Amino acid sequence: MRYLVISLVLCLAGCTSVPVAPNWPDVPKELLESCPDLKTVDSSNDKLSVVIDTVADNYNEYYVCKDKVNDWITWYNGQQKLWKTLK
Amino acid sequence: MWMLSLVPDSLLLYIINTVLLVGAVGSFLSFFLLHRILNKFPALAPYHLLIQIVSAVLLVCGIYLKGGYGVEMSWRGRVKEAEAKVAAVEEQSKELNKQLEEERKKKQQVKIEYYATVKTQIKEVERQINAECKLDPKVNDLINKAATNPEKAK
Repeated sequence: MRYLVISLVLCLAGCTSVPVAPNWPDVPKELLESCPDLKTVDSSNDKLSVVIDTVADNYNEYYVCKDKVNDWITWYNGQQKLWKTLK
Repeated sequence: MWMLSLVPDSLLLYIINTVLLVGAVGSFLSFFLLHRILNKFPALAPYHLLIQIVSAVLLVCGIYLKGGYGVEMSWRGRVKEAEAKVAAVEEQSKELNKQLEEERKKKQQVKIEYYATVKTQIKEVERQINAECKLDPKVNDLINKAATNPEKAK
């Protein structure tokens, strides 16, 4: 048993860990926020201006969200290109 | 071999070189010259074989350790190289994030200004639009339906 333990220790002495572990970069916090739901109009509303206002807000929201998705793509492609150089 | 990393390099090299040197010199002496000396000192003759064995063992160990040290140093060099590469990439990655953040802020600013203008324009013609148009209550429902996420509408 003693010899077995000693031989195991000797075998393990040959093991080594990989000391270089690159950390995958953090994603900008803004990109981690999910897109909100679109705004709706109060059902009792009788003004067209309110409808236009709401639609304008929703268009704005769409472009904010579109930018977020595009930034995700840009971020991912950029980081992947960089990290591929390590291989 | 990882245990070698616990010992300072200079001390390790010193020990290995000493073992190798003692082994080499000892082997040379014991195999080629010692018998001439031992002829003059017969009392030491029984140790001749022992000295030869010890010297040979030291020489073999020295060569093995020298090789192992070389391999260890070569791996350490590669690790340092890899670490430097990773550090450079991490730095570039941070720079990329920074650039993205700056571009995002610029785009956001453009959007804020643009929609502020649109909102102002809506406000300006609000009274005119509302005066000329009577809104059917169905419009609100349809607009809300269109704006609702179909996943949630189910």
